[in-house]
Amino acid sequence: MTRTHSHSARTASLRPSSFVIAFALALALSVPACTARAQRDHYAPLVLQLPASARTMAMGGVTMATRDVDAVFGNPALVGGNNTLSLTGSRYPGAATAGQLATAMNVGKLGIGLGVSMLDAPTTTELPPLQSQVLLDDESFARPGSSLAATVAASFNWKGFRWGAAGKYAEERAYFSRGGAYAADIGVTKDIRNGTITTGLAVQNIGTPIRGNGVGRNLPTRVALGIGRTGYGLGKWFDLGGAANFAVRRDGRFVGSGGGELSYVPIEGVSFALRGGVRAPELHAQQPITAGLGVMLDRVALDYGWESMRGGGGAHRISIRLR
Amino acid sequence: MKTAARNRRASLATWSTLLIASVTAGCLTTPLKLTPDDSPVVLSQQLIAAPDPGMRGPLAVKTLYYGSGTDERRPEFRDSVAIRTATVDGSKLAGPPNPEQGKIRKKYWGFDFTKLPVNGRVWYPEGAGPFPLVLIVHGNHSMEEYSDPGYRYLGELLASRGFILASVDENFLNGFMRGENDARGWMLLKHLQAWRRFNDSTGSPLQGKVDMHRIALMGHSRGGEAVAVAGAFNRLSHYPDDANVKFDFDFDIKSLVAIAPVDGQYTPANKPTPLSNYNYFLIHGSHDGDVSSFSGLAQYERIRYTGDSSYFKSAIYVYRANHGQWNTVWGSLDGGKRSARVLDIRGLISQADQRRFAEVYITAFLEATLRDKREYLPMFRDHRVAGRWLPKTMYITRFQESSFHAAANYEEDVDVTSGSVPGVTLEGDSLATWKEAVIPYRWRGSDQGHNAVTIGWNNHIAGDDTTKLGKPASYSVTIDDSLRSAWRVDGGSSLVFSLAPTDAKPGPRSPAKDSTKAKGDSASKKSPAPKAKPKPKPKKDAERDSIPMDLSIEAVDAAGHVARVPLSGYGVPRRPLEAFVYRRAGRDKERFANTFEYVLQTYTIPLADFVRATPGFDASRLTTVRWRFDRTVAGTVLLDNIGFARIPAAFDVPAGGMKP
Repeated sequence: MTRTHSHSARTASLRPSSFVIAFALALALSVPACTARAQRDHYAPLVLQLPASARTMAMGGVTMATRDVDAVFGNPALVGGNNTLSLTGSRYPGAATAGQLATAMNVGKLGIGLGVSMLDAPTTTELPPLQSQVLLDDESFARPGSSLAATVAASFNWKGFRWGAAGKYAEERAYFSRGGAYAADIGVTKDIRNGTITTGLAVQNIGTPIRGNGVGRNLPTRVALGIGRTGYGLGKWFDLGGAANFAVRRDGRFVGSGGGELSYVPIEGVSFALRGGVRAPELHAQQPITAGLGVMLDRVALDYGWESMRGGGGAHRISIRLR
Repeated sequence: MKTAARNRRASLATWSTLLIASVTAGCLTTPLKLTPDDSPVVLSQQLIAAPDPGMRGPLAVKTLYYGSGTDERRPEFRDSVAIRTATVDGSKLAGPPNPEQGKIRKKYWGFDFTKLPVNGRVWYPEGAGPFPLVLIVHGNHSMEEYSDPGYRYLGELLASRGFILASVDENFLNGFMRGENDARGWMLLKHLQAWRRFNDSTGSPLQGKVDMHRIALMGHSRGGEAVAVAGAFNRLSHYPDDANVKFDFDFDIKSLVAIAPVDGQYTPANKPTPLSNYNYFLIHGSHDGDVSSFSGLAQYERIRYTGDSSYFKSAIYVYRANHGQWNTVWGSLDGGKRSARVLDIRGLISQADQRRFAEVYITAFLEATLRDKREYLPMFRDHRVAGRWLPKTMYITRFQESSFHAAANYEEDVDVTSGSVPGVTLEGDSLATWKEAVIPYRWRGSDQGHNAVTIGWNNHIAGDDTTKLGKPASYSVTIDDSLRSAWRVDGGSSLVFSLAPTDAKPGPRSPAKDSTKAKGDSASKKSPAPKAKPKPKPKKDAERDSIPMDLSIEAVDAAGHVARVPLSGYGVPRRPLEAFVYRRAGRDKERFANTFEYVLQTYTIPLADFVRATPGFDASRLTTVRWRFDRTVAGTVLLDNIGFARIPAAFDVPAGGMKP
């Protein structure tokens, strides 16, 4: 018996034209936001509108076509793959802190993802929903406020596409009041160009308004389309990747975001990544620019993300991923 | 001030990051490990007096292209073709099992498997001819980085020496394809059909220049398997996997050359490709970062010789050679540019040296088999005869000539005492290890598809006296009279076998039991109680051994005359050559079963040498050959393909012989 090895079973480098066009479009959609008026917060809960992990934060918050354990917070069709665990902690300019835990695994033909995302943000209001201003405030007499979402997602292949669905429970608390809602996501992805480019489409946060003490606010329902390109080789040692999202919100607003990642790989299994992104801010507290760094050593990755926030400060986020 | 401080901080962060990256990479990189080079000694002699086959010949070299004339991607096959060729329909061979690949090709190339172009670039000598024809085909690579120009160095050399070389374009079969090596081989035969027309057509620039009775096929990587497939298809009337496809080839292909080939990617009728009656030359590098096992050895073993015609097969393992340097387009990084992160290329011989080896050996093989330049034949039996021509690295040679009769190839049964034919008896004496098993490849979980016997010995007697040695262990093959007569074994015959020392060292042998001592012996009662000794550390069955090895080969005739020669006089019994392919420390051990390949060296010992060693020894009455482990106290060897051959004198080491 002999193994069926072959000389490099790779195809040629592929022209990144379609990806570049998509990326440029996302930038074009997000750049006007840099000078846009202050956004009003329309939806709740707040935790569903924050970026998922340090990596996605650094890349403009794109999640529709990025393969990551944190897909459970983005496009459910991308959950699964390697058994992975991710733990994230965030610190906002105000007194707010956030944490996320996500895990992905394969069970038979299903990819499974589980995620919990939590925001602890002291608030000056007594009733939910929380406003994004809580991310910036550092009031001495603020009252306890929190926002939480727990998600379970599954994905599978069918007819050449990867399909996924997620169910989640989201809740928001302010002082002694709380409101909760159940929601669902559905998504589909397709790898093209021999798997180097991933495209994804998802409808997120389908559900009834979140209510607490008679006050209701819609979930951040949206239809989002994304495209992601995995490492495009730049010479021997560098890879360039990127992703872009376009979304139509419930209120009809069209928003875009995009990000890139330049990785230096000095030896197999080790990489150092520099990331940057731009987005159309959807929360009053957010600003367009994001950035970050990442180090990967075999099965362990440590990522840092930064997002610009209103008032000149920034939010910091650190994730550790274990494969 | 603030800006300056910020710049300093940014600069510090940048340099710190780079420093951390470099230190991390440095810590994780395996140190360069190579087996100590013995080439200054092994390659110190040049016994062939013929002209260096790696040097250009006297003929002027001309070039031309032939092809479809419509190629959208390759200007040379669109605008520069001297001879137009029709496309061929390879859909039944290359199409299944993934028709999607046809669509990908249609999009990129403008054609699918139904209209494959017959494109080639040709180097040919100026002159009337006819000249022997050699086709070379590349293997799998990026289909957008065209592989066929990468053999120009061979084309120019061979053409200057009177061969026509055509480098066949099969880039359209490259990329993410699997199981398409039938199509690669079949395409070679379609090219030969085109060449028959080039030679026969009036007005063709190649009219009458091609000797269609002296043809060789060469292939690299998947192309290396393709030449074996082509060799098999050449003699078939139907495609084995779909008999509706009829074959009508039957070309006078004399020789096949496989360069770092794969094996078993295509299996006709789900069987390994059978091959018979071709001269076959196989080369492979120890540091191959793509086909990291010497997989062509399986095909080498499958080649059979029948009838009276003279053929030979030879395989050479080239230490520190890789996969891609045989082709100037592919280069030193076997997985593409980005594999610099993965593959350790520090140990490779230079691209020039690796190609120099190809030039010397491939030319010599073609000269010997297509143009009867028999002076080059000894190189294929023992590379040491061409020491001055070869790049200074280590080589292992396998060789078999068509007159070979196997006494023991360990394929026939599970009885370790029976040979490959009736009349052969195998016997071991004082061996620590004696077993027959398949030879593993370096690739984890795969093997060479061929059995060998593993012989281990330790002449030390266990006990306090570490100098006490027992009778040297031995392993012997005995043949009966009728077999000796049938094989015409006499002073003109040679003993042939393949052997490789391993790094395993069995523990000392148990002392013989003393039957004169009984329980309750009064003498022992009188002696004082022995002092309690600390328990020795438990020893593994076989330790790693790196001491150079040698042993004696004994021949015994019917009258009991024993003649003995040292093995090292006929080749270097090297322990396995260690090859680390990956940069990351520990990756080789993780991904491979071994950090070396078991490659058995073929030893050919003329029986006349035994006669010279012991006057009175009668080779025509030979009964037993014995491997006597008397020159190295302990060790283990793999032994295979033991037999006798009446090798033509042209293969003999030239006058003067090798100095041990």
